Amino acid sequence: MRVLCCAAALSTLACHGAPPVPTSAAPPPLVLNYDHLRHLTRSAVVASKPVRVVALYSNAPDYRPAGSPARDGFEGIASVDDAARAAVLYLRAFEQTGDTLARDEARGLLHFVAAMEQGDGEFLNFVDTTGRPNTSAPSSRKSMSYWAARGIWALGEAHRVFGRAYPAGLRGLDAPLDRAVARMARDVDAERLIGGSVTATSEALLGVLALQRAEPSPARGELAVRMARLLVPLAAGGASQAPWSARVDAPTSAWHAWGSRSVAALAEASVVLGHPEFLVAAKGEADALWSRFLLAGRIPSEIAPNGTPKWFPQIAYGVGPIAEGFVAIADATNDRRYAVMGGLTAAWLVGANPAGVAMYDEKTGRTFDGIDGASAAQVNRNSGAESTIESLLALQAVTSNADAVEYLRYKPAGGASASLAELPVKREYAGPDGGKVVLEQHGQRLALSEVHGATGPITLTYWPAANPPEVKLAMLLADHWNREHSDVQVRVQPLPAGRSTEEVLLAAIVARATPDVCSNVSSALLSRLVRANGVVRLDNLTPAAARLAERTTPAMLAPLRLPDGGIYSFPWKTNPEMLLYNVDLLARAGISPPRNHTELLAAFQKLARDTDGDGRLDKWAMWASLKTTWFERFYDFYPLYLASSGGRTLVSNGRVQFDNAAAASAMDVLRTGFARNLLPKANFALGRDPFIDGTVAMKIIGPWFLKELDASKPAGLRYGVAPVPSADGAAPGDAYAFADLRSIAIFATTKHVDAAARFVAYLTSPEADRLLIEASQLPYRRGLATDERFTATLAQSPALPAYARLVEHTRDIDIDPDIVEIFDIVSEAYEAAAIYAVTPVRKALAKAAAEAKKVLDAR
Amino acid sequence: MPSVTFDHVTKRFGDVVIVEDFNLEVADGELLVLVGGSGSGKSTLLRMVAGLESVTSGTIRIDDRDITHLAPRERDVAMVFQDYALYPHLTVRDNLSLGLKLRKVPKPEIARRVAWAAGMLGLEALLDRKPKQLSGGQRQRVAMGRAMVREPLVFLFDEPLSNLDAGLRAQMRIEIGGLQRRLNTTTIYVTHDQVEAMTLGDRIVVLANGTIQQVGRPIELYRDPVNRFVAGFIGSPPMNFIEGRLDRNGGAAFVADGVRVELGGEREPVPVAAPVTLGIRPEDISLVAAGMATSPVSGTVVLVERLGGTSHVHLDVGPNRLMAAVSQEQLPAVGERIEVYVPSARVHLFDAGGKCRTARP
Amino acid sequence: MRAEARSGTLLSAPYVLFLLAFAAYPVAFALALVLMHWDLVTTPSFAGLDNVKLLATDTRFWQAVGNTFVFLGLHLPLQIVTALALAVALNRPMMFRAFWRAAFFLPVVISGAVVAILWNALYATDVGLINALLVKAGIAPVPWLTDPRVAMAAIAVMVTWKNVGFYVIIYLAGLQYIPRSCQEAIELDGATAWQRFRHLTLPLLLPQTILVLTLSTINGFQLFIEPYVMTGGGPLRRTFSVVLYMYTNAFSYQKMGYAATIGVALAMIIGTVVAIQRKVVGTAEAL
Repeated sequence: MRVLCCAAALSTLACHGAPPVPTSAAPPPLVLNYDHLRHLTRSAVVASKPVRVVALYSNAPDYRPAGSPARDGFEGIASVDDAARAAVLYLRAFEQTGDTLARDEARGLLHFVAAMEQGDGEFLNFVDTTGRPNTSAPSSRKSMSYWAARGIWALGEAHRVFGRAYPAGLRGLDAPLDRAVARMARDVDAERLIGGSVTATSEALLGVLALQRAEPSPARGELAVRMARLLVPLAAGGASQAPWSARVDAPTSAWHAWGSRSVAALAEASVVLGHPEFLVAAKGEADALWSRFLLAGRIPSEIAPNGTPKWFPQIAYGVGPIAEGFVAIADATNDRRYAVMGGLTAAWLVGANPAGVAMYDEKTGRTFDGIDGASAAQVNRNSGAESTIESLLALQAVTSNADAVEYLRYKPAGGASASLAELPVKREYAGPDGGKVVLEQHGQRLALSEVHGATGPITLTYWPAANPPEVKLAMLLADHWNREHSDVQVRVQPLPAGRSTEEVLLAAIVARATPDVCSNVSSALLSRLVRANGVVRLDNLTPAAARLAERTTPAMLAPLRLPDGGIYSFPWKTNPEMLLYNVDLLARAGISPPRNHTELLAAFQKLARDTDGDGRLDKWAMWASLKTTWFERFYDFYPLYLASSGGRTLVSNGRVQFDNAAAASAMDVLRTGFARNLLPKANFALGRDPFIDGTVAMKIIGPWFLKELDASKPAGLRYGVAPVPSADGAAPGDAYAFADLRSIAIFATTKHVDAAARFVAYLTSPEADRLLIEASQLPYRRGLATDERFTATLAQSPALPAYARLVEHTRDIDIDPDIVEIFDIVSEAYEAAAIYAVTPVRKALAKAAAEAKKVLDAR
Repeated sequence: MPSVTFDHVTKRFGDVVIVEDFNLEVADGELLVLVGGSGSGKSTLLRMVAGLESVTSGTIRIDDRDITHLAPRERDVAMVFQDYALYPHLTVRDNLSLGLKLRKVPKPEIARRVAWAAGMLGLEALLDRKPKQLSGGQRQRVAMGRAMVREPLVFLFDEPLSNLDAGLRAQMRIEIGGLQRRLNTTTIYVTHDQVEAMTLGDRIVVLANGTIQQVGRPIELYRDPVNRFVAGFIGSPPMNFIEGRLDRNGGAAFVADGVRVELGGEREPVPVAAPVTLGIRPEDISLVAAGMATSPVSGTVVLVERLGGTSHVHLDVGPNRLMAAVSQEQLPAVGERIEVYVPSARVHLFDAGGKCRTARP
Repeated sequence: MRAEARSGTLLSAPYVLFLLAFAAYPVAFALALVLMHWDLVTTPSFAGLDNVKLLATDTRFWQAVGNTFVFLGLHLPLQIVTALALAVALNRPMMFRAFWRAAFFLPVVISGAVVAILWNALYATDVGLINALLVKAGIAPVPWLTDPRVAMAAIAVMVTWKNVGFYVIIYLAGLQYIPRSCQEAIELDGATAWQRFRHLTLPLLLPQTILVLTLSTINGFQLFIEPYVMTGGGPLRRTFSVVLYMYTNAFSYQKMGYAATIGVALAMIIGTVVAIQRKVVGTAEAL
């Protein structure tokens, strides 16, 4: 076997040169540029507080920030309307990218909003250059109206975003929000729309829902339900009767594109509050009315109650909420058609509009105010605050939805319809790389059929891990995909047999027999793969980039970024380790799950027993493996170390990190355990797992084990999980869980980069992630523990939610080419110091650090 | 006191009987030859003395010590094997001395005995050679030397000369004989070659099918064979046999096809009709001039073998073939009809059972 | 004659090609690798004598070499004695002799990994059969594979068990060539069974013993599958063998150049040791 490997290797040697990595044919991901918005934002002092405000207007060609012109009565230079929505935009940007600039801008804007609250929950709107609020203009008077609703929206979002990531930023924002909500509630209870407007009510509802997400309370939930119930009955007409379920302020009002946020709000409400009827209401307008726009090939700016459309002027504020509404329904239903429609709608912003002009400019961040007619000359090239903000809000939603983002570049084929009543049965949209989407009316629904690219049907090979549950999962996912995509078929091949995935993949690479996609890539292998140009960079492929934005926070991605800043493997599933314990055995020993090393030692002591009276212990607290193979430390030393090391791992940037007190402490506790004969000095070689058969009472393990545990545990075995014990006196923030992260990679031998990228985006979609959870593995997804989409699935196994809470607080194996050797070195130090106690702990660690340094320096 | 005694010794392998009720006494210092064809049991008897075969029933004693069930190493006998059985990895000296070393004989004594045996056998120059560097005769001598140094009670020789060529065999025969006489150790010597038996043995035991045919000194066996087997076995060239009968009871002549031999002297009464075999040694038959013999036997010469001093003349007498060993120069030609003289005094008569019926004075 | 030579060349050509491709070529490649750094996926780069210099000061390598000598010191005598004793025992007539001979040979043909897993179970400290028997006999269980003092001995015993059948056959063949008459002669010369063994059988089996010694040594230096499966090279690196180190470097650390260096060094060590052995014990020309 070794001989054959060498022979194969030599043949590669002879013709070896790293092949060029295939590039994508599709355009790169759209960049969200906030420069122009920042250009419009300025500091001010309002109510003696330093705040940030956004200038209302900015006109071509110099785009200087400007206030209200005379014709509007000198309202002011900035408004709560804009500031609040800008705050929502910045909050979401901070949530997605962790950008502190966005965070600080959001805070400044939020303080402005809060400062404009007049103490009773009502708000003023405009301020002038000196920061003095305009109390007289009708569009600014103190009230619970549009701008108050937006203020609630912004403050609610702040609680949702800052509550978890930046609690200090909420200082000073609670009281105004509470007052505003209370004031708003009075209107709701009186069954009055906020400001008499569906839009305002929807935006306020969005704020309340965000607050409910951050700090759930039954009272608030009921308030939100009442608000949603105000909106539901306002659909005018019917599925086939004009104006086709358009949601309007009153039956006689016209529908305007701008601010049609009720769909998004109702969809969100159905998810947060658990009321499916809200989703039905949201879909009503989307299915009946909005689908007509797509068949028509353009979006009207107004619709009369009898259904007559007015096509111009079209503004970003009109298009954006429609796109956001589609995406919100897609998230709530997992029905990809809505995502596609959202993308096709947002395409207006990048050129799929009657004027054929890209309204949003990636380079500057400006969005033109609107289109007045069907030609480029009739584009209003000013770029005010509202256009800029609403455009970015829509693009934020679309670029973080892997299904929607592709269609951003599509354009409708054929002439646009003149009326909404008479529409073609189907409309084709064409994409830049030859893809086509056809929307077709089928009864009440719009059916979607698509073809990607100009080439014929392609087949992708996909290698999951070789263990049966994962193969089963892979088959399921591939099946599902294949049914929806006749032009891209996926073939699942279980990994060829080998001792480990690394060896198999290396052999495949050498033999140039790699698949298109493999989902069992570990960090240990990654740096080597990249050096060999073996995998494709993912964050510049549109679908993958969108999915990364949706699924992970920047902090979660940071350890996976290679020195060039790129992401080369999609982090798929994680297995954070916790201390699994046998409830009854611990109860019988009179202890609770150990939280620190002192308690852990006590647990070792109390749980070690001689039950068969032969003078030798046969039941133990824990089994720590005696083998020194590098991955054996994943279940004893390494998780204990990470539980106290404050995020430090073994190596970082080519420097050794592990010669520290946390590592010493981890080794010490195990050393004491071994020295006092409280840990078995045996290798359980046969058959059953010692935790399942009750030989040991505790086990450090990841959630994948739960499936096996539930399937084969004896009746009456009750188990619980607790965080891995930290060293005595370690701060809670220092504790990280070890998670053997597995990623998905696209190999450079693929001939279909874009199709593979789409498949990867599918493998990491919420519905695929649900199936993953059912296999008791956890997706590496932000907010997993609190994301309502997964609560039910997580609840299937009682310990899973606890694991889910750790997903964002993990450390993996370092991405370093020599990490295996360094783990071996550490393993040997552990053996010498902890198991056999022939060397003192600190000396062993120092020696290991020196050896590791030698290895790193030899590169 | 006899040295080796076989007392009702029987040897069986399952149902096959090798040796049946063998009784014999070998005198101290005697060289007794066991001779017979293959399967006669001679080697088995030898090996039973050595302890290399077990005894089914009966006893074997050496000097009145019952050794029947002793292990070979306890019997104080030495054996010279047909293939010499030298230890291939040891020098001649070590071959000679191993047995003594095993018995913890002191070193000076070993050296003395080895020197003595080497001197007796002419092995001094070969002491440091290994067996594969020796010729057949040299190996034979080493084998004997190995037996000698032990100064055993009994020597056993198991066809020691069979693997040698004729000339060497003759030479070794003389040496063995001389050696045995000098050492005067009781020796049992097994061979299938009657020449060796006749020249070496003090006494010869002729064996056939595990039973003794005759025991006696060589000349006794030659002159007075007790049965036809012995008669035909001993003597080279072998005795001529003619089947026939006596002409009358106790009769005076032997008659067969074309043969009439007058018999004189007393003999045991034999019924006239009973078949009788006449035996006459070739060297006792003489060629006569025609008409000179009293009762000549005439026949046709079929073959004349000249051996130098003696010549063998083969002639057909009726259906019988006779061979005469004569030493004269003048020999008949093939196809010639001649007469031969069969002296009645040299004739042996055997009955139907093979027993010899001729009495001798 | 030429026709004969030609057909000879043709007939041996396939095997020669096989040898070139799978024996000569890899050897040449390995020698070349000694001077390179290569991690299997990127292009090899020239490393000069770096690998060799590293090997000279690599304590892990020299510890592995030392371990191998310890192993040989335990295994070789055990192997020779056991094989010889079994051969002598199996040379006697007995019931079902063919069965017994086959039974002792069976471990030779079973895969090493399977045997290792089996003995893993036997040696397991708490649940293994061996310790169970010891406990029944009133002796405390021994941590066979997890005590640094005992582990290598345990592996030596296991490797002996696995290979003994092969060497029993070699010895049995040798025993057939000891002439029967020599055995009888030495019995008459006064040898007990033991003396016969010591003075006749053993010396005449010297060529076989040398063969067993040489083969066991060469095999012993290539100890791999047992530590790989059973102990991972521990405890405290006491069962860490050279081939295991080579394998780890090649396929876990992806340092092919260094692994090749270890391999070449091992080959040289084996050659040297075998040469010394032959000198000391003596080559056995046909007696």
